[in-house]
Amino acid sequence: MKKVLVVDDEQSIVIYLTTVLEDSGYAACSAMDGQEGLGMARREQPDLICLDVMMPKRSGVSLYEEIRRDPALQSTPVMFISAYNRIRDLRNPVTFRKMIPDMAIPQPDLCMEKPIQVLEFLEAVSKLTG
Amino acid sequence: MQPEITPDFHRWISEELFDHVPLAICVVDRQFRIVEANERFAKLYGEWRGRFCYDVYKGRNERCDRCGAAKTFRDGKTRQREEEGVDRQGNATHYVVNIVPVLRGNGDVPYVIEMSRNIAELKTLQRQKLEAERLAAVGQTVAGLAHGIKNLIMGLEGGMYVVNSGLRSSNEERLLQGWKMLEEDIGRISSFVKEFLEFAKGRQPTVDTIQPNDVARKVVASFRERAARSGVELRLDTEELEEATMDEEGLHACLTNLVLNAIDACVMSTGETHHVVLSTRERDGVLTFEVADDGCGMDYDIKQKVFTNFFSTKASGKGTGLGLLTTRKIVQEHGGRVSFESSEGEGSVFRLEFPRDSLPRPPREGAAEQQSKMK
Repeated sequence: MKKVLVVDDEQSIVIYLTTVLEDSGYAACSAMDGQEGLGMARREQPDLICLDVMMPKRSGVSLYEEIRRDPALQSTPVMFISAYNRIRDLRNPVTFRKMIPDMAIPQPDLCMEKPIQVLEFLEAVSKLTG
Repeated sequence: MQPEITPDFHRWISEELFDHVPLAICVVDRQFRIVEANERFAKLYGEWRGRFCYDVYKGRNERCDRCGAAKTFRDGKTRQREEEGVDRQGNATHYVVNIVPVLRGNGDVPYVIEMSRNIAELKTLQRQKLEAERLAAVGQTVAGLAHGIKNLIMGLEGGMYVVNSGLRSSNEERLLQGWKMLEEDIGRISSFVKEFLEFAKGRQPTVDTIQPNDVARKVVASFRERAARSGVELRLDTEELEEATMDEEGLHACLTNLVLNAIDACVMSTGETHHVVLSTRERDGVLTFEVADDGCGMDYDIKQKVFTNFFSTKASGKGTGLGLLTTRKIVQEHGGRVSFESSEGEGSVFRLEFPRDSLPRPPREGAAEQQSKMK
């Protein structure tokens, strides 16, 4: 069973996404902030990490940077899910490099805007964990 | 060797330059009759010979109320004015005029020279810029509102999904969980709409002469205990300040926002004990309030969005993202500015700076000026 880690500071989003994942046969685990997310990712070694952008303690972008620097996690696919319109900044190479100047860190595998479409979300999860 | 000024060049300076400068120039005598004008002036205002300046510039029958030429005739001083008038075709003109006295050796001023430059185009551009800024602000607010609504929709959709999932699998616990999500989200919609309306409506600032340190003291006294409960020491560090004309309630709201944000930043941080310091000072006529914390600080990403509507890093239901935006609005109403410095993991400093020169006038003085303007 593929395992997906959901990191979001909104409890309702965490419950929503983990329920969708569990209903579709994935094992889901979750964290409510960036710091907790990093610990959980290291412990659980998930097949996919879904990240919110804005979170307390450590933003999704900072967490992503750390994940990509961690040898045990650097090849784990990461999908950003954020309501914020500037998720476009993550997709745009120029604005992305302003956030993470280190060229060794690639752009995230996928960025999805909230509100998500369940089918589209599941398709993306299946593709990234496949 | 200096080039020689030939007689021709001298003639050109004294005669033709008058007609070639990009200014409409006329010479006015003490009866306010135009006695000389250059080509540009004639082109703009038509026949001027024997006419009064107020007639030519503005189509008036009598002297202007605040006539600059009359003042220069009196005091012999050069002055600059921004004026509106009418050209020969009846089109409105907007111009800056420099009024220069022609002084005799005995100090008499028989004539003044008026040099005007048309700024109608500049004024139109200024109006268009203001309009564009207003539209941009509206657009930003609408985009922010749409973002907030999208968040709420996702919450509602999530709640519905979890309720349905609970029903499908006859899982009562999940069903209740989904129902709770829906309830919470409806509560959030309600407070979101309320706060948004408050922000949109704004409030009428009540300006009075206040002691700024008193407001800082009140804010610290109100939140010291709350901060302590969160493991944060809230301190006040004031320098002696003169009274200032400010909106006390507005300043209180700003400092409250900053102090509460700083406490939250400490709570979101990983360390054991934290400090928030509200300090006041005045340097070179600028009143400064500073709220410094050693909380979680902000990374590049968050710093970019500090003053964005509805942007909040706080956990669900804790922040709508309007606090700093409201703070900035109130500070700007006082002619001041908000700035911040922040390092991720080290803390932030938010600074409100109010130049005394730009502070609002006390109510009576303001009313008197308003009246005199209306006269």
